[in-house]
Amino acid sequence: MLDEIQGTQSYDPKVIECPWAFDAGLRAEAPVYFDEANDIYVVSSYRLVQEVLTDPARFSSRYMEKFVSKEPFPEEVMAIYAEGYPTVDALLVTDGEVHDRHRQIVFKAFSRKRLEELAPLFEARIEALLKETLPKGRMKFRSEFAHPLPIVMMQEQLRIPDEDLPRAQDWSDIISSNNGGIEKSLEQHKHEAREMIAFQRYFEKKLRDEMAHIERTGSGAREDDILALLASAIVDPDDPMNMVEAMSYLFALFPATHDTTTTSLTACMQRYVSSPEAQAMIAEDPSSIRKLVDEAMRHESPVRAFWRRAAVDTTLNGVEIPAGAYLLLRISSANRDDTVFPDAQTFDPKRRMPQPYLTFGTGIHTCAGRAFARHIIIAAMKQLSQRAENFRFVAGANDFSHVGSLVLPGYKEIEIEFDPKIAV
Amino acid sequence: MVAVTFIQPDGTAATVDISAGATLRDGAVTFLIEGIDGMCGGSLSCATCHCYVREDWLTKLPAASAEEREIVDLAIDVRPNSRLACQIRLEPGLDGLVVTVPEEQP
Repeated sequence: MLDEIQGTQSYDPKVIECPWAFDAGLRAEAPVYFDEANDIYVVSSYRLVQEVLTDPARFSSRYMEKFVSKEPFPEEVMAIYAEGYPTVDALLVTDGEVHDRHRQIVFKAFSRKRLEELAPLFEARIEALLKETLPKGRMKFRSEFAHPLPIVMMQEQLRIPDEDLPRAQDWSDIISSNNGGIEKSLEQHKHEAREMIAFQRYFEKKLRDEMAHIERTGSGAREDDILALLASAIVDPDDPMNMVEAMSYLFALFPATHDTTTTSLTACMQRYVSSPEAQAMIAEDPSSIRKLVDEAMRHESPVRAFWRRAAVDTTLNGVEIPAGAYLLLRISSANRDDTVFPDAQTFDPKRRMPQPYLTFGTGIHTCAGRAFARHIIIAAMKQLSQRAENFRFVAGANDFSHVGSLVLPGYKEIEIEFDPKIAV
Repeated sequence: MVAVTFIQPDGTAATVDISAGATLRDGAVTFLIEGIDGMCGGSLSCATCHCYVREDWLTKLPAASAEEREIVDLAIDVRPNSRLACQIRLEPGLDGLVVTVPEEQP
């Protein structure tokens, strides 16, 4: 088996599309595997992925270069980007003191109190989207629902008025597509570069207005949204945060809140529709949606991989790893490790998790937006299952293919049909 | 060994023996206690190991750190006897500890 593992397989589109056999082979033969062709150490067992994620001193998160496209942008495009702020490490790609500061901000902005305040708004947004799509008895779930829904979180955190939302949505999509390293024409690159400059200018203005408010009145217009927290940090002479860092913070936050939630919600819906058992379970007991969502997050692993970098020369499972080496942590594999999850390859909506699934990470970089994401996904599934029934896939319309990067390859689309219930 | 009783929201109780030195969170995960997740592995980065310590045991625990008090606020239905299980290290003096598992983790 080990002989059959080719160096390129982690990047092989067929493996990105369907990683399960590759993952199983790695776990069986070499849970820490040196992929010489790509110069990365591939980690695939639950225990070892957990070990890496819970040891930030040994395994650093300074790996931002892994998110940047392998080919540098053409010079004309780089000239446009040079008009704006340079990119620095922020949020998930930070260590130590910078990470502590950045994390404090998201914990405050994504507090339980804030979630409870925003919950009715999320319900209203879900309802508004479903009002448009449900009566047709059929839906392109990702594009018509899962994609437009999550931007509501950034809208609230950054006080984006409704009329600016379509543009914010476009910006979010551009940032996500750059993480995926998708092929684009020169004209498209230039357009997107100009839009990214516009993104910076737009949010810089908002930040400066908030900073002026703080300087005038001693506090922000709000205290606990991202705009207020970033503005306070910039104004605070004891806080190293500056406009450069704040821009990179927003660049990191958009895909972290949008793309991931869209992909996860689509994955949950896919599993729900494909499982009559799950539909019956939820019809009888709506509170079991939580279990379905958790099992879908484990089984599909919408976030499929994380990167880390060895901070020191170290050994993992007996394999020597030099300082500076990149590690690819295959979350898809860890989540289907059957030494942890009995019958791991099976989707079981009633499953009791013996240990936490690793889709949201673990350790100090555990997703800070997890509670919000889970809440919105559960709320969406709840409304869907209450407002319609007999969900099925549109015959012949679905190939269940995935699109995106090694880290976040989501269902391109799922076309579903259902019977709307009488309006409640 | 330290005997700990976990009471579920529906009243069912399970008493397990956890090694001294282990955290309550690790014990709950080892013994497959439903409703204690501990997603971040005990690094004060989630609040999914939230539990309610029975009042008579609360004063026997070392006080929560400032960091724990901040993070526990991320939990659902926080009460005066709310603690994070990953911050409770079991020792012989806690033999007989009783905690209740919340309805839902965040």
